Amino acid sequence: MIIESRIPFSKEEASRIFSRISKGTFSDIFLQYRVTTTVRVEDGILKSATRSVSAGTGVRVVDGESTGYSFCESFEPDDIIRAAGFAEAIAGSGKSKTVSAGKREILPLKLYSQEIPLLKTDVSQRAELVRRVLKAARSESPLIDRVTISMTDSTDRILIFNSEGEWGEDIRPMVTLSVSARASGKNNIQFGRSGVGMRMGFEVFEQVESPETIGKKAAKQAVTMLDARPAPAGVMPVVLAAGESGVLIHESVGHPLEADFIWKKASAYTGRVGEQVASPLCTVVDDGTIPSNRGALGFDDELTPAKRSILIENGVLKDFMNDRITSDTLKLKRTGNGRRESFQYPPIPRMRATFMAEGETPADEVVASVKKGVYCVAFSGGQVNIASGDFVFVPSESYLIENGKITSPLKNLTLIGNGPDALNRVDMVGNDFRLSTGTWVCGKGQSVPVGIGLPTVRISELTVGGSANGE
Amino acid sequence: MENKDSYREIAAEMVQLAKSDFEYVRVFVSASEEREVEVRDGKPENSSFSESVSMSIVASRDGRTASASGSDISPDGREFLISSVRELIQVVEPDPWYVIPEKEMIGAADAKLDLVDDAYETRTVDQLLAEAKDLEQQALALDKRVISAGAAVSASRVAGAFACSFDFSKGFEGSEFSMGISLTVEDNVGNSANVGRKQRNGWSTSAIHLEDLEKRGDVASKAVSRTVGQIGSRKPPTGEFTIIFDSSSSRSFFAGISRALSGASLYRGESFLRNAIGDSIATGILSIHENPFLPRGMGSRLFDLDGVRSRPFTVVDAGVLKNYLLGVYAANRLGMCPNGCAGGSSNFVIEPGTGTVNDLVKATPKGILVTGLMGQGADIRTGDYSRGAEGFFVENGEICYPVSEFTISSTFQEMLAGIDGIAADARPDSSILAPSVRFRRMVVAGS
Repeated sequence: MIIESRIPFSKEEASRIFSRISKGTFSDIFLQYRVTTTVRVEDGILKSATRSVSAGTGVRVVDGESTGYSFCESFEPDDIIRAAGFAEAIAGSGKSKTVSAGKREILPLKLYSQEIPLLKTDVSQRAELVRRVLKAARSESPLIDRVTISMTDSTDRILIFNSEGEWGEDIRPMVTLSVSARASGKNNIQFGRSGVGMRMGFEVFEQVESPETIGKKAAKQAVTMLDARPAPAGVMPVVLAAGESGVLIHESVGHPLEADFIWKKASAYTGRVGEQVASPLCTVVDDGTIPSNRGALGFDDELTPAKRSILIENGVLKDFMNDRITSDTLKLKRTGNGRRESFQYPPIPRMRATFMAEGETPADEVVASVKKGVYCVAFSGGQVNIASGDFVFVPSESYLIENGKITSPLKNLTLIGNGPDALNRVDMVGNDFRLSTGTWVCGKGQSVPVGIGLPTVRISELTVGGSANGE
Repeated sequence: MENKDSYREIAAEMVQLAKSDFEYVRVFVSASEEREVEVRDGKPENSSFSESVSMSIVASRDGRTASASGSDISPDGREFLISSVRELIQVVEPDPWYVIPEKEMIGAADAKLDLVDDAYETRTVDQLLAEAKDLEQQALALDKRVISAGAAVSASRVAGAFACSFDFSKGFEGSEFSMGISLTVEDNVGNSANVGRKQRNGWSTSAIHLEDLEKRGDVASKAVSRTVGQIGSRKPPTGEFTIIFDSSSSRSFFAGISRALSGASLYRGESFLRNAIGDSIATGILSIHENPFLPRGMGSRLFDLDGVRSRPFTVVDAGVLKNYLLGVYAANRLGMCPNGCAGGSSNFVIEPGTGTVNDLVKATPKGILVTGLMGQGADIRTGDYSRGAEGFFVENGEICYPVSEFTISSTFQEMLAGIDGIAADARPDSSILAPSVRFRRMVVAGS
């Protein structure tokens, strides 16, 4: 299996391919070999196991602001040359140049294990891990009557060459475990969810969260939700708990600060660098250098070394997340956000680990300050309209705050707001920053794993969409 | 890319290779080829050409099932897939509900689906670029305020095959064409922190046959009117209102219903429609059909993922639930018969009423027309429904002003029971054929 050795492809072969690309101002080739193994538990048994292999080469030819892309499911130079022919079809002329490929190696930052531990682990060890999750979830409460577990591990080998003589290789591991537990009450069924997703090997279950903790968490949430009542509808203060609530930052500020939306003048933040766009309490960061985080990248998918970028500092807009093309076009310093789902896609500006930095207020004071509002602990996802800034997100675990105290769990609610408005209404930021260790995947035409994080935050006013009208 | 006959041979060979090690094997080979271009401001921005193939094998023995997939369909690649399955099946536990399908069910139905348009061959990059530029020009000429966020045109084709241990193998093929544009317009609102607010919207069309695409002029004008129509939008008041879903919003609602009726959601207990056969689950004016044989239908097929022969049937008849959507495994768990819906419905057809979305608006004294939905707040497990929305406030049968940044909440159960109007304007470019519908009452959270 190729995963245990290097991708069989030489600098000479890369040079030969670049010599055949006659058009465009920049080109690169991205070779990838990925092995994924998934085991699933359902009905109390390890019900299925799946392995998939994805291998191939993407070729990109850039001519100014135009990009041509093609790929082949092979590492054979002749197949890659054929793909290059399709990729350069869009290029006008550009200047043809001879390049000797692979002159300068870009070394990835060492942010995660390079030892491909996932492949040294027997499938029976995977089976053992998910059985431990199952046992813990079931023993949490007699009301838990169904548990579904899915664990996926993958190892990526990446090899990149570009027409400027740069090259680099990286090994990227990822383990993702997610659990869904069902609790059946007297006249009510509810679900709880938990999970862990990190750029690590199976040591994640010793170093980050044990299988037992993950299992119990899902079960506990399901049981808690049995007592949930319909959420109120209307405008009120919202407190976001540390960690998972970072999805708000990802959706409401993260996406509109991706440089491709700025380039297309489609973002509400276009042309606003240097302006106050948020409450002075807000500092927002996108960081590709957090070791073992889901968003960690030794270098991005076009060889730009990993960086930490401050996007908003004390409420002032500082920077946009860019890839090579948008950095060149918009004259921005490279941030290293060029990412792709796989060799089948060209890189585009994407988030890595995006979070709001810590504040100074003790977290309990934030909750105590609210007379009537909503406290959100966990989320099942969110979405943003880049242009208007409107966003929604859906808490999977949330509570009513009454007179400064967290009271009844709530169900069936959606938070809706406007990014720039909401960030200006952040009036308390806690001193309890936490990165989520959850299984976050961002979809923007292509799916990539991302990290999120947040301290406890109060937004003075947000629309809570519940179904209990008139409460 | 090869043709369906050669993929059929490869799939059948793969079954032969694996057959002796397992009780039952099924193999899918699926290949696709796509050309796509995107232009912005008259210049080509992206073009892509892709060609890919994948093979998957699902094998079982003593009630244990394992699977593997990959893009390498060479003899080495096939051997790797089989050895992966051999390794993985050792840790899998026997599933008491596992069942090998009855041989009589396996096969291809006899129907003419008309899923291939040879026009694919004529769709060169230059041709696609010219059409994308023209689409963009037409849109920009309609309203000076809008700017382009990109116009895209694409063409693709697929070919593949299914084979299983019953010595059945069958190929399939198809084509698809699409075109669309997205537009942005400035929308500054006074007294807001959101000084850079814009509206972004657009329109797209897709079809199995090139000639069935909407005309470029229509796509351009719909994209422009949807974009500028939202200028100045504000929150509607909080309260209970009649809600109209246009056909796009309605499609996402009925996609949820289709998932709630699928075998996998049901046997897992993750559907609000479990144990509901024979029940009245909706208003009497709602009927839904599963129709795999719709000519040129986006979901049309002759057999499902299990290789079970497809057939049309009624899902909901005048509000009464008649059938679930079942593959072999889910049917066995529920004690029912498979009906060719492994992996879900083929074409999920909501029986049309009369008129268009405009007729529903005209008949509404006060309410909201929803033209866009956001977020994942539609939970088919519990039925809870709460989503972000945008659209128009309606009074006395007329559209008054655009609205956004609000949520609508109810439950799937109440929404189904509360449908009091169905139009006949379903768009054919999806496997969910849903016309605009009106719901008597939902809770709106706005200002």
